Amino acid sequence: MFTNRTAWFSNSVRRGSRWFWVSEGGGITSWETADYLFSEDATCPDTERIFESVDYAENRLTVFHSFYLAACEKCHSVKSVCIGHYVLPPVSVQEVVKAVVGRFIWEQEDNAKAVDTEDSDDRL
Amino acid sequence: ETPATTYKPTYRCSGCGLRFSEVTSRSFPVLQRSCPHSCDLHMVLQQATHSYTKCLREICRRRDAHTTKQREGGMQSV
Ligand SMILES: [Zn+2]
Repeated sequence: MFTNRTAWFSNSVRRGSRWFWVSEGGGITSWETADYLFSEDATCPDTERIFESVDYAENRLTVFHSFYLAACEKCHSVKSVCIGHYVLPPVSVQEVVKAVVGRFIWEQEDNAKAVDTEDSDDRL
Repeated sequence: ETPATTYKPTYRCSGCGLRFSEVTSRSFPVLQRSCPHSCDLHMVLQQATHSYTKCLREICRRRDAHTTKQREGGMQSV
């Protein structure tokens, strides 16, 4: 599933997600070079460091919530889960977003619900 | 107060439709900026992130100016 892709994991990410990434062929590297950055907690010091980096300031980086991987694991596919819904922004940004649209998809208790069941649109 | 419901877009913008193979942590900001009709989530996310990074750039700029001044040996008080 993740062959030829590299990721960086925050210390806040539970072990299962990291294990799933590696078992599906994904590589692990530093945050400066990784294709995907995963975190579970925007207040974790290693994640905060990224949010304060020059790359982030210049809009060159997005951190994804590691529950994306849990959702992929649940439906055995990366195709039916919208990675765009699993953006993990800094806490101040989260507050603004939540005031407007409600909870983030990764805040759900049961993240199986986050799986997009309408996978019929293969227009893209 | 924060609405208790989880955001469920009724309309799927290009940010929503992105597949894993089509996007990385590095290309997402660019792809999101180029989406002309964002859904509510991606619209507010983009705007809030933009304000945040604008602030951050200002902080970085001031920090740089400060360290440059120090490096030049001009230890003037601000
Ligand atoms: Zn969207």
